[in-house]
Amino acid sequence: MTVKIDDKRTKALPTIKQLIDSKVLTLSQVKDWLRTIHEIRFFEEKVFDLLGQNIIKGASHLYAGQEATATGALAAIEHGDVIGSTHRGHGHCGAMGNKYSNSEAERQTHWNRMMAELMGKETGYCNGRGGSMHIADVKNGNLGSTGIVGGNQPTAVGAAIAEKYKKTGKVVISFFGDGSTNTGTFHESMNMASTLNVPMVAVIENNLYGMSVPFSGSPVEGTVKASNIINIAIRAGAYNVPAMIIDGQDVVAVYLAMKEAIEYARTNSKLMMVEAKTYRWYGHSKSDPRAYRTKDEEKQWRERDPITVLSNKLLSENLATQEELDGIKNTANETIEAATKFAMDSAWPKAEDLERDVYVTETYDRSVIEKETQLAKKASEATKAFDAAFAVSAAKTKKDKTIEAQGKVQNDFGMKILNIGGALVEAQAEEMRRDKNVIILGEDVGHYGGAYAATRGLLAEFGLDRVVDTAISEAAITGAGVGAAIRGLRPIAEIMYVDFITIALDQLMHNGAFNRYMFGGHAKVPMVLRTEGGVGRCIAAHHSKSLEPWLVNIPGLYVVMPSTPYDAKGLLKAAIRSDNPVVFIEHKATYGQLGAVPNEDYIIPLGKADVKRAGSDVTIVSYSRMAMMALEAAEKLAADGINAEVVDLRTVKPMDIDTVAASVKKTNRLVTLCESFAMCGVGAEITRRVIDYKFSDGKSGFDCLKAAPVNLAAKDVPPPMSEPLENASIPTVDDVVNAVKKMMK
Amino acid sequence: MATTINLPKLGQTMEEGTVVSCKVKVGDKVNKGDVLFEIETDKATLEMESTAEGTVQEILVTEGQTLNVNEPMMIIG
Repeated sequence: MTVKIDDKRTKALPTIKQLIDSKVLTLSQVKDWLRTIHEIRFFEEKVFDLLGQNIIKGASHLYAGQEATATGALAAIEHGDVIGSTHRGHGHCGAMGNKYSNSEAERQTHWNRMMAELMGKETGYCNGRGGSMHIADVKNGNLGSTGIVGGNQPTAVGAAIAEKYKKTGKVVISFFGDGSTNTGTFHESMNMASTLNVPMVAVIENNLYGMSVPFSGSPVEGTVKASNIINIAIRAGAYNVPAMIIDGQDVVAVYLAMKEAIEYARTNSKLMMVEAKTYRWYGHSKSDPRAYRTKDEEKQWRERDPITVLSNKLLSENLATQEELDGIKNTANETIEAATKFAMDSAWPKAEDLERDVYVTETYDRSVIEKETQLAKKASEATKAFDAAFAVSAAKTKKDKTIEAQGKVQNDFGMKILNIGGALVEAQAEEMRRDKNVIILGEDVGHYGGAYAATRGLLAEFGLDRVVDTAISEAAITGAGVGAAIRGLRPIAEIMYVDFITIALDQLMHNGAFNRYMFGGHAKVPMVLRTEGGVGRCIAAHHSKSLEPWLVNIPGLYVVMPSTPYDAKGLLKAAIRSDNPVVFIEHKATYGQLGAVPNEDYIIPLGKADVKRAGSDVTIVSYSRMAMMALEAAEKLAADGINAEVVDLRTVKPMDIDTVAASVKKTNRLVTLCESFAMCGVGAEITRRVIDYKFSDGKSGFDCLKAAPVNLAAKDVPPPMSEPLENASIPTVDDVVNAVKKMMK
Repeated sequence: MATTINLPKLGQTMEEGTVVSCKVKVGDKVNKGDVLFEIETDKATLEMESTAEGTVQEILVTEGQTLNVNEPMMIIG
């Protein structure tokens, strides 16, 4: 394997005059670049000043010194191309906004919105919800900055997957710094972009330091280095993609190289990496004394200031007078001064809008909810009829008993019998037929059909473009799902075990759940993250946890956990249609569980619990496999004359506390049953909400309780492999029975 | 010494399997790793390999038959 690294710095650049003569550039274009560079510079200088005055709060990572890279790269993209920015993102946003401004007024508005965002004002790009480190302009294809170094690489890959799938001909430019190239997401993202052949240019802005640690070393005593290489571009070899090294201080060099790289990515639908050598004038942030680099080094880089480099070219080629250049500088300064005044005069966001745009508001017609309640009842009855027919069947094998019993259900109820795995396959297949924006990506989802066969047969029907097998890269799978969702797809990203979410949480939380809010409601992330959890297969604590308490703790996420084939199918279909990011957690021990499923199309409204058994003496609230154990316990209790009501939440978040509270009002007793850990768990949350619940008659949930609620949950141990220990780590049916009997006394 | 080959659990959720085809006949010499049957499970159709070596003495199942995990399928001696 030979990977071409094209070091553009070793080649002479054409003069601006030559580029104008050959119609590559116009003079006004170049002068506008100088203006953009000045605007970014003045913006950063002003931000530095305002931070010092405590007018801008929080952290700001300033782009001064690197302006030529953003300006040249953004000049090279076409309208409609997409960018992902870094945690030093003012330059990218600044240059992108200028590109989309069609008048002086629009340009001023753009800088106004940038400054307002940094001040946390309602008039900002993200209505003040994101600020410096999260500035974004999703409408124009800027997928935003990120507070996590390297955090935006996977979303950029996802955006590129979407552009390729939709055949838009658009390219994604993923900007990131040298510091991020030692993170796991860098490797996962570059490898995924390379193997999936997506149209993407990765721009590595190598400003030599990741906060204080030099990437390749510094003469300052006591410093170490973050890598043993000088040129990050050589890492392209690991992904078998071409790379360039460019002078990031010269906007003309950046523009020409980026034109070439973007053309390559667009024409071939491939990844190219571009390393721009550059330097930041300020420290990492305002409080950084820059002790890790020498004054001499700073001086040398200052001589290659992007403003100086371009100004000198224009002057030496007699393309502009000093007076003209001064005029450009003054105009830029006036723009930023006006933007500052605008931002200072702008209103703060209102406290009553605090929770706006955490979720896309989704409501279901009352008729839909009522119809589903009836359908759920019918499916439950049909499942009971199936179980009864199965039990009395004279057939010898499970397969034959199933065939016989399901024939009866089909006749009597007009429903079919599926296991949960099959129900999930049907849900996905139906939604993929209904909406071509639904795609699946993950490990072993294609040819293998899913580790639990929940995508079996989908590759054959929908092909490689829509059922995408990926490398083992949980963060990239999750982040790519987010990026593709923001760009208009409805991806289903599969994470094989919920335990593996631990290595994808940044993507799931900061990008998936938070982007909508942090971008001021200007984005939505309609993705489903399908995964499974729970004990029951003796595969120990890295494959057996129930992590829903972690996930319901994240604003912006929905968490859905079905217990039956009927619920699994209807909920997954609703999750795919939802505009909110949904984590859909199946239970590993239930994929073979059989149950009745309607023949016709149906969805189950998210956030609606199901009363799976009506009762009068105690309410048992549960979800997922434990809901089935609650039903078992209820049957045992019935034998002792205790009539338990079983409420299956189905959607853990948003939680249908109304249904739970109404049940407790009737029964006056509450038991919660979860397979996840007890501390700060879902059961504790249900209990808290029931106690605080206010009924329309003025009574509280607490007033209705005749006994202290009991929360049954997993023991505080890593789920052990050994079967008897594994069984002992979670509540049993007998635990439920005993708890109820005790509270009935 | 004769060895009885039972239907193995070919997946975590497998309780029973259906014989799709038998790949050997009585009198055939088989080695460990030779394919004896194609088995359809709840998840996929898989090749079932011999865990013994010797001569096929008796085949106890027929194609299309569904049987439980651990039930005998073949005697190799």
